[in-house]
Amino acid sequence: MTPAEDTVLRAVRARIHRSRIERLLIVAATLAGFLLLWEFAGHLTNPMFFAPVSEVLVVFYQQIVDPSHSLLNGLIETLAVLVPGFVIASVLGVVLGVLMGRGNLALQILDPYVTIFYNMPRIALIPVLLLWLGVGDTLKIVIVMLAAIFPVSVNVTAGIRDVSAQLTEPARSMNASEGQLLWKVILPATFPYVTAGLKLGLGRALTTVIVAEFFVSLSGLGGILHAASSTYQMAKMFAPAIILATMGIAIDGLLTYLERRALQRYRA
Amino acid sequence: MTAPKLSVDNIHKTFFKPVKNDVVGITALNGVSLSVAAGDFVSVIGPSGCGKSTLLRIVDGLIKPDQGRVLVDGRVVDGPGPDRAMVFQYFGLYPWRSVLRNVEFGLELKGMPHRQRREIALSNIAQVGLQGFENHFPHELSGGMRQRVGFARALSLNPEIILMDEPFSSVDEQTRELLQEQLLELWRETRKTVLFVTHSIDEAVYMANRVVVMAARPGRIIEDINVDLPRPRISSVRTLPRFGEIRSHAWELLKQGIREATEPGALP
Amino acid sequence: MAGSLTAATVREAAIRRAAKRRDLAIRVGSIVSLLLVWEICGMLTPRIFLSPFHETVAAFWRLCGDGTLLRVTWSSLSVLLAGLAISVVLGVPLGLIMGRYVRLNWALSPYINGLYATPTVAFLPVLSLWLGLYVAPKIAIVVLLAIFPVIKNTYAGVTTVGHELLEPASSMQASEFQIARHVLAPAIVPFVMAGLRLSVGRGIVGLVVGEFFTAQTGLGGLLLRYASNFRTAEMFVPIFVLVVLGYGLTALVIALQEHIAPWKETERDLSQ
Repeated sequence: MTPAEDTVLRAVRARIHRSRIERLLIVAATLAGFLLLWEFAGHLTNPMFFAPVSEVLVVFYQQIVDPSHSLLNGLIETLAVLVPGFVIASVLGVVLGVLMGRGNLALQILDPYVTIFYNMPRIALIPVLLLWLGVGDTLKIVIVMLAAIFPVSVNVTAGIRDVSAQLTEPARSMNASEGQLLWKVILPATFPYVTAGLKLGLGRALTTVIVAEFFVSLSGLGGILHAASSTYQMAKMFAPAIILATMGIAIDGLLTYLERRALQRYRA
Repeated sequence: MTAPKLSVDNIHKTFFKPVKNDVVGITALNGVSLSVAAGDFVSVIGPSGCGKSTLLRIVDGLIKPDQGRVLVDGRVVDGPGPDRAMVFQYFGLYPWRSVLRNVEFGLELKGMPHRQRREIALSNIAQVGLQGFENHFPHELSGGMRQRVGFARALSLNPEIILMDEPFSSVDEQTRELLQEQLLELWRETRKTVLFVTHSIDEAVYMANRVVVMAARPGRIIEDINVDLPRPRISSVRTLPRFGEIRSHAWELLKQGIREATEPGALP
Repeated sequence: MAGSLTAATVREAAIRRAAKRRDLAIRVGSIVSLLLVWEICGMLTPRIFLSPFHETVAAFWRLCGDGTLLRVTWSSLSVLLAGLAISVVLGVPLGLIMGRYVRLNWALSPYINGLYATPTVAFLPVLSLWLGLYVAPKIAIVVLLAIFPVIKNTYAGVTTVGHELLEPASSMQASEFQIARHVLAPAIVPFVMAGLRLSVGRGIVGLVVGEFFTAQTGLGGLLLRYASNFRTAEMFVPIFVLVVLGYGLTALVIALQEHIAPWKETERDLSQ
């Protein structure tokens, strides 16, 4: 490389480095500004409606070291409902999506129901299920499952129908059976649709579990939230909200990471 | 002695690609110079990465060179101008605008009054043979037709230099030949200066009175071939022995360029 | 021969029509079977669990006739539309400037992406504390749920306006303002519509949650009241209306998108 090019290369590297630092500074500055505003606003308003960030952090800490572990119990209760519900929804959703994607009969029979359920707010079924299943974890798991299954199945069906002939032709010309075709060609090709559906389903599942917990108070993180607000303990609402946000961001991030890793293998 | 219409003066351009956490420099153009007389039809050929599209964009003013300059009629180029117009490989039409409104877009940007620009647009649409399609939209047209809209748009700007970036590569073979004939006819009538980038040697030799052969890594001009074939160019010209000679010569140059680039010691 | 081609085409058209009719029959059959099962189960179980289908139909007629359904649907719809409108009015400009100014994107995107991944219904108790129990908290929760797909999709639209749209305009010496007006604005329309499509579904969820936990108005409120009073026939009526609402509004947005932006630009509506 000529000296002239080397100078330009150095300059470009320096520019990228500077802009990384700038980005960090901007992120830090906005966070600081936001926290300052929160603190300020907290002191100016009626303590019944709002708490400054300092108080929130103190209460957060208290909840974590609380000997009765109420926060931890709340988290476990929520996960005890969310995880089974979401996992069942994912598995059933993929199965349903594949059934409807590959077979016309299944599609015609099931599509009216999928359409109906996909287009409704599944939480509207909570009062009905409450009537049938009573208060308890079964109710919550069922509604979480119902909430998450359809985004998954709809995306999987779309993905399967989208699999191009360029992928299936070579396998068929090598005499692959239907099962082999499905397992080795179609499902891998549908992977990005599956992850897209899972991400959508997760969002719905999280929302639904909270609403279910609002209905059936005193259980889970949603229950803690609800209780805190009815007793006007604003600061206590922060911890469950943060934990829920973290869960949402973490699982979404995990799914995105898995998606990228898998795609790297076929896109390279 | 009058200045040449277009003068490309020792242009250098390096691009930087982000690779992992660093950047890698790619020398697109390494000291490229070219002189074009008014009314010339100059073809530029070369393998991928030889910088021919970059060269065109630097002449149009869309990209600034790291070193060197471009002169039109002796004046330095500093950005796009009314004296040059470009026709794009990807057509570059606006999907929400009809053919007519796409063709008059450049004039609209200049603030030309409605009636005047309509007239000019309509006459150019007729000149490229698309009368009757004024109110159609790009997605309703074939590739060849879309490219003709691109020409009509460039013609409407009444530039002195027309820059064409592989204008026929997105179009099928038969349409390609028709468009070549049409372009040559338009060139004969309007006597514009044309800089025509292509990756087809046949096309380059057939259309132009000069063929500039480029090589990649680093991007540079290997040779400027004078094409002494009779005009007007008709299909039978392709069967002349002289055509074959020029073509082989160009092909040899291209191969030599590829060999030189992959030898050790060549710039990255 | 031309004759046999026409004959083959006619045959093929007939086969396709028959297939369509068969598919329709299967679908109708599927639904009818469910309704039958509903009817039978309804007769066999105590009313507090399930009423037969025909009673739900009767309830539907009754509620239509006495104006309850209309009143309640309008109550829900007005809240939903207000929330969606605010989401678009606030969300599109935000997505636009975040797409245009990288530093603003750096500053705001952690919060916006964070909120997008959070179940924002968690804020409903807070909202009802601050905004009361009537219309305001409902509109607020709808906005909290619906605004993020709009912001995200608008941002995606602005940042993916390809060089294929920008280069020709630059080449014709368009000014910044001209590019914004003639290239960016039309190009982002399909993206905004895709965002709106996602927002409709999420907005309805917000609406119903709001109607459950603040003053019980609208379809959600009606549903809750029926269910808590074991009115198992009536309770399916608001559910039915909600399905129709969800389907209808989504279809409307799709139709609008087809009409305004019939060209297929890249829009990612299968992933958020």
